[in-house]
Amino acid sequence: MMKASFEEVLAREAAALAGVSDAEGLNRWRIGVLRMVTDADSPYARVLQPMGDLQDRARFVESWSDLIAAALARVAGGASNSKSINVSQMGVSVVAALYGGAVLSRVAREPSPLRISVGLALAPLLPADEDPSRSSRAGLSVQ
Amino acid sequence: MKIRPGHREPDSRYSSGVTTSVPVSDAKRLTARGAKTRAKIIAVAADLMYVKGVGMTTLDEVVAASGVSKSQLYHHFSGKSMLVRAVIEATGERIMRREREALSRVTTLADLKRWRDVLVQNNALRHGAYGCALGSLAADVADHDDIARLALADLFGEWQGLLAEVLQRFQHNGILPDDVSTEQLATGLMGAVQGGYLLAQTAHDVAPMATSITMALDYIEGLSKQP
Repeated sequence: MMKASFEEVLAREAAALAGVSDAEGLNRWRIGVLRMVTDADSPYARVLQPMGDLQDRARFVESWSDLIAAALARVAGGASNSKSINVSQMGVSVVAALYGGAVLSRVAREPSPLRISVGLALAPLLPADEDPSRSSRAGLSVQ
Repeated sequence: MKIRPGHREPDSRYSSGVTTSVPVSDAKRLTARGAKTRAKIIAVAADLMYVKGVGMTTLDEVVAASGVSKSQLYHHFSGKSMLVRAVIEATGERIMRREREALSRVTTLADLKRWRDVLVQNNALRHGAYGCALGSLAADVADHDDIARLALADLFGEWQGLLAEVLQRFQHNGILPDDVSTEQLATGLMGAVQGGYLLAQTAHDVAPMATSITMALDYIEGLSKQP
């Protein structure tokens, strides 16, 4: 069950992230992944719970981080002031934010902790002033 | 009164209608000996639930590991849910005492990095295998026990409040600009901490936890350098 969910999410993410090459695309991916994670019936909600075989989960986390890092590298390649960004580490931090934010949102029964956590992890490449939907300078609005 | 993230009105789609005024555990007026027995049961249950998870820990195992009789356990706890709530209360007190002590002394970015190092190094002692004691309980009970969930929401809210106070001190001292939302930064930092614990647990290695928290702190440091 969990193994199938891991595979389904990775297949969807490979397709979604392949089209991300600039900040606008990254923001669209952010909005889409948050929508999936907050849908309790989606495989995204399942894979973000600490369940399933540990080795399967470890492989899933590594693969997802790599997919995100590859997309971040394309976005960083076309952005100014992004030379110091380590996209590999940023990929890990985005996946961590998805896991950690999901725990906080499940406990609080509201989506903003997840959105804020992912916003912070993506902020080096998706600052608030490039995203009119987000008003805070911290780039962490719950919109 | 300062609003803490855990004390916000929840999204009405998720609202349970249960309030935290409901007692979290069924602690009774106890003799010294009774209090000692109760504390022992809670400590053993907390260890078992931390290592095995709440779902995989049985009351029979708690009885066997604590050396108390089953009737003694049921004298103090009417069932597993009440024991889990008592474990959350005790674990929360322990972690909040530690975090209040550690974060009250943080006045600089270097202090905040030292706080990160302590969290990561303490987790490294176990190769990150068991995660955050509060986060693990949250993952196990959030969908099954609304009273326990609300107690955990309060505890995470208090922890985030402590982080927000650190960031407000940074603003007061000119380290962070005034237009930064300290509450949102604190929530994002807590997400990085909890996610870091979970990735460390998955990898049996604290490296991703260190990366997750460091990236969040780097962003905060970057804000401090902006004009």
